Amino acid sequence: MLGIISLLVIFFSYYMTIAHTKFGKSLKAISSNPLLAEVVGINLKRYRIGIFALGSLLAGIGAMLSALDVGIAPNIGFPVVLIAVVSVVIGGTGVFEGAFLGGILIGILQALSVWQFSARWQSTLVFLLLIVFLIFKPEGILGFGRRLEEVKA
Amino acid sequence: MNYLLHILIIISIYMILSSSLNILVGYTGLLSICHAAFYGIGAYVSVLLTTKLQVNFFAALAIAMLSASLLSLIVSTPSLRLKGDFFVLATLAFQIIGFDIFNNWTPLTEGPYGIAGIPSPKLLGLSFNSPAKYLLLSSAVASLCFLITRILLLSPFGLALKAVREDEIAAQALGKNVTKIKIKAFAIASGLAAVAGVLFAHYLSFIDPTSFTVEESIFILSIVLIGGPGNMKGPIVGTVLLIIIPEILRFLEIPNSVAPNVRQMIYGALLVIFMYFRPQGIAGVYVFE
Repeated sequence: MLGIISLLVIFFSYYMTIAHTKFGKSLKAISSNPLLAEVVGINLKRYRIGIFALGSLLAGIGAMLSALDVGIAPNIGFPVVLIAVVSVVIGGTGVFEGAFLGGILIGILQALSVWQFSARWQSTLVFLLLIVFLIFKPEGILGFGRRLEEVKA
Repeated sequence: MNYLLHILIIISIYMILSSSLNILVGYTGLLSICHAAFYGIGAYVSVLLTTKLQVNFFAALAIAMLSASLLSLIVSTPSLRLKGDFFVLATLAFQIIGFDIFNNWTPLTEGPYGIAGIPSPKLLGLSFNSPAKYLLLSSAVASLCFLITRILLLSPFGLALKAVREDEIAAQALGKNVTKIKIKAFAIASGLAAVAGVLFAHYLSFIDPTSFTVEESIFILSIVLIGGPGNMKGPIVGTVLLIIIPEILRFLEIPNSVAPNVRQMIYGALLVIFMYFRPQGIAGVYVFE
C-alpha cells in the first residue's frame, strides 16, 4: 500500500517536472542533440550531474520501499537494475510513460511465469521478451520509430 | 609450487578467453557480454560427454567447440541486426538465459549442485592429473589457440574485420558481406571460448553454474578493455595483470572475508581509471566507443 501511494506521488511529481518545466524540456534537448543544446545555452555538465542525482534519488526511494518489503543485502542491486533496463526498453525509450508501462508489464509477466511454470524460469522469460522486443520493435511499445540515420552505430 | 602452477593454468585459460573476446570487441567492434555463456557451454558439453558417455577428452573438446560455434548462430543472427546499445543488451539477455539454462535444467546439468568427478584428460596413456602436467596441456592448447587467432587476424579475414570495425558502410560498399563476417567472427570467438571452458572444467574436475555468470562475462570484458582491444598483445597483458593483482592481496594479510570485495573494488577502480586516462588500454591501438 505504501508502495502504491509513493508510486503515484512520485510518478505525478516526476511527470509534472518532465512535461511542464524548463528542466524537462532541456533534458529532451540534451538527449536529442547535446551539441545544439549547449549552443542554445543549456549547461550540459550541470544538467548531466543533476539528472544523475535525480536518478539516484529515485533509485534510493525504490530501494527503501523494497528494503521494507524484502530486506537488504549488498548484492540485491544488480538483478533489479537489469530488470529495470528491460522494462524501459519494452515500454519505450525516450517516452516518459514507457518505463511505467514496461514496469507494470514486466511485473505481470513475472507473476504469471511463477504461476504457470516456476520461479526458476522467471528471468529467462523476461529476457526472452527483451530479445523479442529488440528484434521486432526496438523502440518499445510507446516509443516512436527512429529514422535509420538517427540510430547511433 | 602447486599454487604457482595453479595461477599459471588459470592465466592460460583466461588468455584463451580474452584473446577470443578480443576478436569480437577489439577487431570487429562488437561489445559482447555473453562470452561466459559460451565458456559455460564448452565446459558443460565436454563434461556431459566425458562423464555420461565416456567420450575421449579430445573428441569432447572438438564437439564442445563445434556446438558452441553452432549455438553462437542463435545469438548472432538475431542480435547482429541491432546496433550499439541494443546489441549489448541483446547479448546480455542471451548471457542471462544461458546461465538460467545451466542453473535450471536440472536433469541434464544438475543445476546449482554442479557436476563433480570430471575425469582428467588422457593422451597416449599419459594422464594429465597433476597441476604440472595439466599446465603442459593447458599452455600447449593456449598457445595453439593464440596461434590460430594470430593467423586468422593477420589474414585477409582479419583485415575485413578491422574494416567492419572502422566503417561498416564503407566495407559494405567495397563488397564485403558485413553480417556474414560478423557471424563468422562470433562463431570463431565462441568456439575458442568453449575450448577455455573445457580446459577449466577438466582442470577443476567440478563445475557449477556460478562460474558462468554475467559477472564473469564482465570480468573477461574488463580484461580485454584494460589490456587493450584491437591488439594481440593486449589480452595477454590484461590477463596477466588482472589475474595476478588479486593474488597479491593474499600476501597483504587482508582477512578472507574482505578480500573478494577488495578485489571487485580494484577491478572497478582500474576500469574507471583506464577509461579516464588511457581509453585504449595498456597495449591497445583502438579506442572502443
